[in-house]
Amino acid sequence: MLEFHQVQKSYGLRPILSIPDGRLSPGTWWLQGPNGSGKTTLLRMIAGLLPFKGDIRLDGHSLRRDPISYRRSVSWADAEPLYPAFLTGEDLVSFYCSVRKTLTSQVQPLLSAFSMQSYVATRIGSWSDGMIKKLSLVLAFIGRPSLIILDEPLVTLDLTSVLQLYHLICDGRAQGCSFLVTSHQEIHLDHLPVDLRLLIRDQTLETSITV
Amino acid sequence: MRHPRHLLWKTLVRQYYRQNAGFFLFFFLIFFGVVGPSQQLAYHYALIRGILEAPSLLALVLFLWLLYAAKCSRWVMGLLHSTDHGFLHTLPLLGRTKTFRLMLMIQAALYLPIILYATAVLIIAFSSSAWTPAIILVTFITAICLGSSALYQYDLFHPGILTEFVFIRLAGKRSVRKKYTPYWSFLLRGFLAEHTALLAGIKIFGCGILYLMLSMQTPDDYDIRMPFLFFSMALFGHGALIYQLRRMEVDQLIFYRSLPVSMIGRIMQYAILYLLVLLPEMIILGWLTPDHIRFRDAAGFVLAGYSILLLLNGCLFIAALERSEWLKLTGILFGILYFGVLSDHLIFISGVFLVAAGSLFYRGYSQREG
Repeated sequence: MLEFHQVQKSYGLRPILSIPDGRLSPGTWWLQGPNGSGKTTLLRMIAGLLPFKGDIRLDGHSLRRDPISYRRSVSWADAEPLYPAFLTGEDLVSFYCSVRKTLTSQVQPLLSAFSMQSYVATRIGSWSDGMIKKLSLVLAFIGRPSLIILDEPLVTLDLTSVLQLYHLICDGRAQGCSFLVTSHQEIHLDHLPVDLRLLIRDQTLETSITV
Repeated sequence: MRHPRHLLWKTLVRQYYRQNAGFFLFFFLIFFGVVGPSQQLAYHYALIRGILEAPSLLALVLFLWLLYAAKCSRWVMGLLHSTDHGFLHTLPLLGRTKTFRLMLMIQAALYLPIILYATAVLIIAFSSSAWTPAIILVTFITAICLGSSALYQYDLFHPGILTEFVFIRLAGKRSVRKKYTPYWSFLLRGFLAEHTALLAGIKIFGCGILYLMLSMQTPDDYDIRMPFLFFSMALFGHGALIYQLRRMEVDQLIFYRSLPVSMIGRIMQYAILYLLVLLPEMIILGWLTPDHIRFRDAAGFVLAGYSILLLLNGCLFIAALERSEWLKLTGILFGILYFGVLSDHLIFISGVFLVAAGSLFYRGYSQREG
């Protein structure tokens, strides 16, 4: 369960988001809003990447008071991921496995789902945007987070990979993991059941739209 | 319509000098800041005579110039392969000769600091009839400029082939699956992969100057202030590296912040990194202790170096500083450190720096929690 407690975010003097107390039950949530409404800012706040006033809790773990347990429960994939060109995909996979205390063998199904085995050991500098995007998605699924945040996960993915991603999300849901997804592209609800649509309007989060 | 030269100048040359301002300031300080204005000519004349007369010194100088050439090539090739500079691949439309001429001009502009110094060396070589080193120098500079230009031209006309070559070579080397990759190793590889020439220059200068200055120290004629001044110049050069590393972290390693790592675990990554970065200087100091430097002073040097690197790193977690602000800050911190050696409080000030580094890092990271 994701809870917000008097969350406020501003850039300088300009307020961006203000979310009074609220909670989201486990599920798949599709966060929507126009460009510049603060979707990515909210996702980064939930991922613990941006400072803000107030607190966010996940499964009872406070980001402010218990940051390590909180971060253990949350995982994040950026909309336009960037990694140092001199690293290999394998470097990052083994690093995530060590930090999230997961066996590298557990990652093999993820790599094969996205057909990444042939190039995961090569330098990221030689990869296309789509390959980097797939790596960011694989990294987000490593470990056993209870919430995976996916910022524009469909961008630059080919159709096969999109279907694989839907499949992984459905599997994750079956195991109790929640997903917070933003996408300007239409999500095929036949393949990916969405439990709740969230909308950022007037600098706050509206959660009343149930699918 | 503007000539393509204008565009190349703006994108490849002007940006290069702007981004490497810290690098050039460091080497300018080394070459022109160590002796007074009245002694500049005599100092450089003696240095050039040494280059012309001692083959080992000439070899060292050529090696350093080769490292600088590698830095220039890396810059140009990096831009040629970056997506936001894809427009440069229209240059082959100008034809082979014209493209090569443009690339030669770019290489000469990037290599200008070396060419200028080499010209001074050549003038003295000709006036003193040192023909062999003069021929070696001319051949070297010409080969670097023509070779680099040919490399850029080849890459423009055959995009991807050189990258593919490197890619296959590296892929072939990697067969062992690693079990654990610590975060500090990403940072260290960032230094090694992205700033090879700067790191090598700083290390060669730092270790070389430490060895030369300390090996002259004897129990009867012992004064640690001048060796520390030179050592602190080498440390000052590390400031440019730390700044670049932090930029890389913010741009490309931001995911680390979202991972479940304790504060101690995070601090340890930087503690290990800078211990490894300072290891060559520590080995030199250990080697010369106690014959040429007293144990207490050696400990002071190590602690001062280590604490200043961690403090500079910690400062960048508090605020995103502009390059000019960063240079001012590093200058002030080194001034404080030098005051420490003059007043014989080096270890105390280093201890204060170490505590400040830890608290700044903690504060900077804690700000991110909310």
